[in-house]
Formats: sequence, C-alpha cells, structure tokens
Amino acid sequence: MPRRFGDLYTTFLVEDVAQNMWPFGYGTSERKGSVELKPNDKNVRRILTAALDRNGHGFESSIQEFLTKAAGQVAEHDFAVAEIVFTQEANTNKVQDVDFVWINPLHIIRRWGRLYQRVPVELAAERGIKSRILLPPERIMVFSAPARYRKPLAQVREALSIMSDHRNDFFSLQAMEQNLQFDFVEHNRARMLALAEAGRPIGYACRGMFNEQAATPYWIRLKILHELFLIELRQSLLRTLNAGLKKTGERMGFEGQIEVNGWPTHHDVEVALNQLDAGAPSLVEILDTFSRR
Amino acid sequence: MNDLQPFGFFRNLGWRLNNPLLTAFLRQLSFSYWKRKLAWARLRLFFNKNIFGAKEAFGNRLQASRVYFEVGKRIVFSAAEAFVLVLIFHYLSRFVGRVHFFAALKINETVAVQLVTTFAQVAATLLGLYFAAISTVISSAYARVPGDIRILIAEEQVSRIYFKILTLFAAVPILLSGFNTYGFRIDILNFVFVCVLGLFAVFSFITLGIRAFQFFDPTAILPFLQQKFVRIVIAATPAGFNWQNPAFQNYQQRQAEKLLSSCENLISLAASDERLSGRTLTDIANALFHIGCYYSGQKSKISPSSQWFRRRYRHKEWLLTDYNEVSIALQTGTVLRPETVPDNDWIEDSISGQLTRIIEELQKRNELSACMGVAETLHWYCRIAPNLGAFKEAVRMLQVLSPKLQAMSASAPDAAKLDDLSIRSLAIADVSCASFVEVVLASTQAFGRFDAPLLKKKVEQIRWDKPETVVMEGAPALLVAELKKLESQFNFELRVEGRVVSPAWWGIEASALAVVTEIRGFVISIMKQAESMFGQEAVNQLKVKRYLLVAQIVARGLEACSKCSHQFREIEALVGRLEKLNCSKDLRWPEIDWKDIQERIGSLRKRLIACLSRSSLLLDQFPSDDRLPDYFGQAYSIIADDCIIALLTSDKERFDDLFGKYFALALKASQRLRDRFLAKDSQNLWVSGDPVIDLLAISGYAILATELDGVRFIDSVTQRWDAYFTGLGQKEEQRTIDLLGAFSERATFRTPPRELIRITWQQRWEGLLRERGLTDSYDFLTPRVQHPSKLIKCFAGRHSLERTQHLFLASQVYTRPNAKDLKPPREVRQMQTTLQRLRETAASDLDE
Repeated sequence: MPRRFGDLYTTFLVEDVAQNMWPFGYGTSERKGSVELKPNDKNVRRILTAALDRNGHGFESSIQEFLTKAAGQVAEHDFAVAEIVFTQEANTNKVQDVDFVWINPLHIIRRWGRLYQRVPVELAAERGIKSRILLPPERIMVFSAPARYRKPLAQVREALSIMSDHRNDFFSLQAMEQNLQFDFVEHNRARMLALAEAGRPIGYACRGMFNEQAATPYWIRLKILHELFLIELRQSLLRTLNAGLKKTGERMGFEGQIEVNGWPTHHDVEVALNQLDAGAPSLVEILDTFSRR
Repeated sequence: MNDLQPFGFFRNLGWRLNNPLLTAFLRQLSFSYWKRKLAWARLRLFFNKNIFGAKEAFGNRLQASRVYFEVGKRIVFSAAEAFVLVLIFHYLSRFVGRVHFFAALKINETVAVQLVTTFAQVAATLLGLYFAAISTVISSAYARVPGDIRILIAEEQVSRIYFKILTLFAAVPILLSGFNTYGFRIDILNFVFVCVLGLFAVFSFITLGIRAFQFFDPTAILPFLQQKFVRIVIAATPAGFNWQNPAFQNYQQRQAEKLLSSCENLISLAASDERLSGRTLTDIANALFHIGCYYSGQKSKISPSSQWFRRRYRHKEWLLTDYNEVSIALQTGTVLRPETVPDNDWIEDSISGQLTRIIEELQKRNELSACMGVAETLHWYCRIAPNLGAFKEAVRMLQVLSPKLQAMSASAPDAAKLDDLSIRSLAIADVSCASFVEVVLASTQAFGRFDAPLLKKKVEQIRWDKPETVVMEGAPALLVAELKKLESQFNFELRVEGRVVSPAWWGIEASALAVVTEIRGFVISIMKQAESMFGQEAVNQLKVKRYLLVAQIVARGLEACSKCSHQFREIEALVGRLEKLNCSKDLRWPEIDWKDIQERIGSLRKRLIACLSRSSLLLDQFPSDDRLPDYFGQAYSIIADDCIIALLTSDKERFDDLFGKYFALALKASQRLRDRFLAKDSQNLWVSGDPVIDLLAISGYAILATELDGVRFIDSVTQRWDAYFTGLGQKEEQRTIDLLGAFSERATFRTPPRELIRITWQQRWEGLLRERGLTDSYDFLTPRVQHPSKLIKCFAGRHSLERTQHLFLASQVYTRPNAKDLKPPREVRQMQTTLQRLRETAASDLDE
C-alpha cells in the first residue's frame, strides 16, 4: 500500500510525474504547443470544460489539470479511474450534462477483469446498496501507465518507498557515536547508489539528489530516458481520455477528440541521445527540447 | 530488513538480486554490518601489516646485500693482496718444508683453539673501538639534538651492517671455543669462515672507522634521509604495497612527517653549532630541494583524497550543506560537523618553511657564499619542478624564498667601491630573479604536454575501473583532482548501469577544463609575482637609492616581461586549442583576459624602464668591473630603444619623460667611451661618437613623428638641445656643432657598433608606415606614400639613403645663429638641399 505523504522519495516521484506530465504551461511557456478539439464545436468545448474541471479554467487548462491528476494517480497507484457521470432531465431522460468524477483508487477492486468500487459497510447499509458496486466499462475511464512501463513503475515506487522508510538519519548519528568506525561518506554514497538504482527503470533521478556523485552526461541521459517514459505516459493518458470522450459523445450525441501538438516525441528522444553521445550541440540545447519553460 | 519479510523468501531473494545496490544500502543500516566491517578491516590490517613487515625486511636484506657488495668492493684489493701473501707463504712453507728444521713444525689443535680465541678477542676489541668511535661522535656532536637524529645515525645502513659483521665475528669464535671445550673439533670450513670474517672485519674497520668521523657533520646522514623519503613516497603511490588502504596511507604520512621533523632538527643542529660552516646548511637545503623535486614528480600519482595528505578541519556552510547532514544537526540541535579536508601542500609548506629558516640562519651568519648555493638550487628547482607538474608549488616556493634572497642584497653598495661581498649579494638577488624566468619557461613547456591532442589521447587511455591507470605523469594538481572525481563519477555509473554510459568526450572536456583552470591560476599568480618581484622591488630599491640593484632588477624584469609576453602567447594558443574540447558548453570555463595580461606586462615594462631611467644617470658613478654586467650600457640601450618605441606609438608623455634623461645619458655615455679609448685605445676614439649619433637620430625621428601625427614630440627635443647649446657659449657651441657634424659623417670603411641598431630603428619606422597603410610599395625607388607631409614622403621607403641624424642636424643644428659660418658635412648639406626643395615644392603647391 503506497503511503504517499509519509514517503519522501515516493512523494517526489508522484509530484514529479504529475508536474512533468504536461510539458508546457499556457501563457507561461515559450514552448509552442496547442490543444485542439476536433471537430471544434463551441458547445462541446463548454460541456467538456465543465466536465473536466470545475475551477472555471479554460478548455486547455482543464485538460491539462485533468491529465495531471491522472498522471499523479497512475504514478501513485498504477492506475486512475474516472467515472463518466451523466445528468439527465427527470421527465425526458435526456442527457443534459456530463461530469468526469475521480474515484479514489484505494476504493477500487479488480475481480475477474471487472472493476468494483468498494463502499464502506455502514454507508452501504445506510443507503441500501451493495458494499461492492460494479463499475460498468462504458461509464468509466481507466488510466494506466503504458504497458512496458507498468512493472518498472511499480518497482521504482516500491524501491523508493523502502528508501524512504530508511531515511532515518539517527542511525548515522548513533553509529557515529558508537565506536564502529562508521563511514558517513561511504554510507551516503551507498544511499545515492541505491537511489540511482531505484529510479533507473524509468530514468527517474530523484530531483538530482545524486547529481554530485554522477557525471553530468549520466544524469542528463537519465533525464532523457525519463522523458521517454513521460512521452509514452502522455500518449497513453490522452488515448484513454479520447476513448472516454467517444463514450460520452455516443451518449450525448456529439463527436469530439482532443489533439495535442508540440509535445516532445520519440524522435526528439532519439535525436537527444545521439546528440549527447556526439557531444554537440550544447547540453543546454539538448535539454531545451524537453524544457517546460 | 524487516520490510522485505512480507514478500516471502523467493520473492525476497529475487528482489535482492534485482536491486543489489539497494540491498547493499539496507545492509549498511545495521550496527552488525559496521562491526563486521571493522573486524574484517582489522583482520586485513593484521595480515597486510605482516606482509608489509616481511616485504620491508626483504627490502632491508636486499639493501644489506648491496652494502656487503659495496664494502666488499672497497676491501677486495686489500683482501686479494692478503690472499696472495698467504698463498706465497703457503708455497714458501712447502718449499721450506723440505728443510728438516721446518718439516718438524706442525699445526696442532691447541694452536687452532688459541687462534680462534684470539680472533674472538680481536673481534671484541674492534667492536668496542667502532662503538666507541660512534659514541664519541654522537656524544660530542649530537649530545643536544633530539633523539630522532641519534637514532638516524645508529640506524644508518652501513654502520648497522658493520656492527652485524663484527658481532658475528665475535660470536662464531666464542661458539667454536665453547664447543671445543666439549671435544668438538674445529674443522677446516669453520676455521676458514672465521678467518674470512676476521679479514673482512679488520679491513673494513679502516674504511668504516674513518667513515664514522664523517658523522661529525650532520649532512652525512642526508643521503640516508633522502633514500628513506623516496621509499616512503613510493609506498604512497600505486607502486606501493596496499597503497589504497587508508591505514597504510596514514602510516606513510606519519613516517614522512617524522622524517621532515628530523630535517628540521638537523637545521637546528647546524644553526646552533658554530663549528659547522654555512655549507652544512646549504647541503641540507639542497637535500630539501631534491626531496621537494622528487616529490613533485610523484605527487600526481597520489590520489588527492589519500590519507597521505595531512588532514585539517573545514567548517561547512549551513545553506550549502547536504540535506541529510542538516537534518541530523537540526534534529539533534547540534552544529554541523566540520569536515576534514586534505592539506595537499603540507610537504611543500614544510619544505619551504625549513628553507626559509636556512636562509635566515645564513643571513644571520652573513654566509653569502652558502646562500648563493641555496639560490642556485632554487634556480635548479624552478627549472625542474614545473616540468614534473608542480607549477603552483614552484611559484609558491618562489614567493616564499625570493623575498628572503633579495633581502640578502640589502648590503649591495652604491658607493664607488665594489668588493666580493657586494658582488656576491648582487649575484644572489640576480639568481633569485632568474628563477622566475625559469618557472615561466619550464611551465610553458610543461603545459605543452597537455595540449589538446595529447590530453585527449591520455584520457582515452585511462581505464576508469582500474585506479592504477587513473594517473597522468606530471599532471597539474587540478587535473589530478579532476581525474579522481571522474573516476568516482564513472564508478557510480559502473555500479548502477554495469558500464560507463557517459560519452568519452565528457572525461576529455572535464580534463581540459581542469588544465585551463590551472593555467589561469598559474598566469594570475605569475603576473602577481612579477609585479611584486620586479615592479615593486625596483621602486623600493630606488627609494633607498640602490641604483645598481635597481639596474639589475630592471634587467631581469625586462627579460621576465619579454619571456612572459612571448610564453603567454603560446599558452593562449594552447588554451584556445583546449577550449575546442568544450563540447557540452555547460561547464563554466574560466575566462582569461589575455589582452589585460599583455597590457599588465606592458605596464610593468614601462614602470621598470621608468625606474631604470631614474637610476641610470647615477650608474656611471660605479667603476667598470667585468665581474658585474655593464648596467650603465644596458640602461643606455634600453632607454634609447624605448624612446623610439614611444615615438612610434605616439606616446608623448612617455617620450618627454624618457628623452630628458636619455639626453644626459647619451652625453655621459659618449664621455665614458671617450675616457676609455683615450686611456687605452686612442685610435678608436671615433667610436665614442656612437651615442651622440643615436641622440641625433632619435631627435630626427622626433621631427618625423611630429610630422606624421601632428603630436609635438619635437618641442621637448628642441627645448633640450637649446638648453644644452645655450649653456655652452658661442665658441664652445660652434666647436660642439662641428664635432656633432664630424660624428655624423658616414665612415667609408668602418661601421660603428650601434649602426645596426639604428638601421633596425629605420626598419621599424618603415614598418609603421606600412602598418598604417601610408605606403603600399616595397619599392624604395618609387614609393607611393599617402601622406600630406612632403618630409614623410621623402623618408618613406628610402632605404639607406637618408638618415634622421642628418635631418636633425640640417633642420635644427646648422640653422642656429652661431652655426652660420660653419661648413656642414656632405650628408648634412645634401639634406639641407632636400629640405629646401621640399619647402619650395610646398610653397608652389600652396600657390596652385
């Protein structure tokens, strides 16, 4: 069971994946990117903006926020489930509005390929419903990491969680007090090596904690490999969102798919790695491809 | 480790195999791990200590065998002589054995026993005598010195071996006698062995006994100290046993510290004992320089983090310290633990401190000859050490020692009397200044070994997983540190990824950056040193009116400026090539403002010449002495040349300042030459006019420079000449003008010594016109000069036809009222005609 806010390194991971999921910010980024709804229907834009985000932001920002939340949950729990909630007119049963509501991943149970929402026994008894509610596939969006990163992501989280548990620096203090010839430098290096090994499957450098111990090109390579993970995660999340929009459109009678342009691509990663090996152009230019500024 | 329990045994095992580094980290989180580690370290230390002891013992045996060989070599002829004698007697005894009387004589057992007993007595006597000799030396010469010096003498290898032989020589006969009491027969082999030992001991006693008296001079143990230091340093490098083991590194460090402390005690001994001459201190200084030089060559092989380097504490900054440490300090309410950092220059500091003390002692005793020896060794060190990578160390040594050596010349006189003492003190200051030039030259040469292609090749040859290959001979300190850092970083990758994934260019770039940073530090420190050693020192000496010393400092300073300017251009090109290795453009490369450095050199040069010009007029007070350089002549040449430079660079202020002094200097130089030739070689009296021709030529160039840019150089020149002529009176003025005219006449068969210098001035003038694009033709017959001045056109490209001295004489000297009746020489008349024609052409141009 992940303990997000108790685990330092895991919290770093979740926050970093969520933040870096969206590589540019509207109005604040020099990066040229665009989010488009195709076909572009004003009414659909309004419905979707309201469904994705209730904070009154614009269409693009609402998508950004929604996917960021999805990414954070995927990093934390391997998946994220959003329920597509339709509002019907009482008399005509006509769908009037839609809302995408996140379900707490801790309440999700997977049985025989189906997803159930666990309801506290008291609440179920009070409302007269089952304590385990089936989530119909046509009414939910299940976000997950790309297939090839699912296992590595879990491994990274698990390793970071263990590292977080052993972040207790009092051991170092106690060891130093006892005449054990405790070598803090050696111990610290072991910690950094462990951190590097823990984040390696997805190229996660743990906020550059071991940058001083490693050569610059090494952690830049890690960063590029982490970008590869993020690229595939973005694509996976967007595919799921578009699938959800299709389901919603079928029910509400519209067609709408979201297209995002300007995100880094596999080609960018390949070019960056080649450039890194060749030593040209500068490291700053290589990193600029993936910069969020 | 409890966290892993819920996974089950097999999953746990699989997880550990997949995460070896994390498992290793978790393992470190138990006290038992560190206890086990400590126990293992102790065990290893125990075995390594024994192995080390065995190796040491083997080394000593090896050395002992060399001593046997050396001693054997010395006594071989005496032994052979004795052997021949024995043989002769043996054959003689066979011959005489036929005689009835001698045949009756037979060696019996009793005699052999007695002989062996006598041998034992002889051995004991020799042992006692040798020990008494050593004891006498120690008790009289080393009674008040610390124990370590006495131990060093006792431990001295040759003495130790001899003691051992004597002991054996005493012991074997005693044993044989003892056994004989129980009926043991003294057999032939034992008897021969005792005889050989006896011979060895007796013959060696002469050599070694005499040698023992050498210990009255403490320098006798210096070679032993040097050898020991070499062994200790080697043990700290990859060639040493367990060189990466901190315990062994620490042991070697303590040994070296002890040795340096012994050196210091030797200095105290030599300083306090009045019987010892200054040469003893010089010998110790030489040994220290040699130790320092050898160490410089080996230092690049020792890791900067090695325990070989003495530790010192350094406090950390809260805002820049690692999170983990800050966290511990905050939670426990303690301060940040100061980190221990290596003092990488502790040996050099110790050596330079001891050398300073030696110089001070010599200064106290006024032993200039011995001090000269120290200065010469410093000069040698400054030539060798930078080649071994000790750039910074050489500059530091210079910074520490040169003020002390220069202070020795405080007794340099400025009176008319020059004695040996004064000349020697000047020589010491001179050698010390020359050391600076050596550092510059040797360092440039040494940096050349780290040029871009060579450095690239060297870095590519390194195998980062093998620490013994992460070494570069003669590498500067920063490069050594960078290589160690890279080794650590690449090892990090090796541990995590199983291979080095960083591209090869990174190592090359980081190394190149380290070299450039080292170069920057070197250039800055050397400039600072030049400014203080020459610029500041010249001013200080000028204030106290030590003109000879000023001239000497300026002479060396100008040499240093020239060398620095030239060598720094080479280094600049080298830095340019190294900067091409900057692929990442990520690291901040040090900026070296080469233009500023060249300007500083130029400014220093100007300051030195200004000092020289101020002191030059008083330099002729000193009698000419061929034991000293001709400072007066040197000052004259430098100032004349600088006047031309000031004219060509349109630096009026500098020219005005220099010309006034040069005017007087030229007249004095002429008079000095005149006196000299009148006294010795009156046939060549005409040579004494050479400085005056220079003066006239420079005055002529002042006219040309005024015409060229409109800067009124001519004003100060005419002012000076007017003042000169006015002070002479009419007749004397006419005579002088005639003399000037005569000097300026071109000789047909003779070339005055400075004529070639004046031709180079003319070439510089023509070069200036070409540089400015005023003339585009090298054809001296039809030069196309683009300048409004007819005079400039006239003097452009006319190789060997016109001379500026004639120009000055024609335009300024022979036009004086008192020169109306004088007949100028032919060249001056020609020049007058030329000038008249130019004036007419100019007037007609104006009319048109």
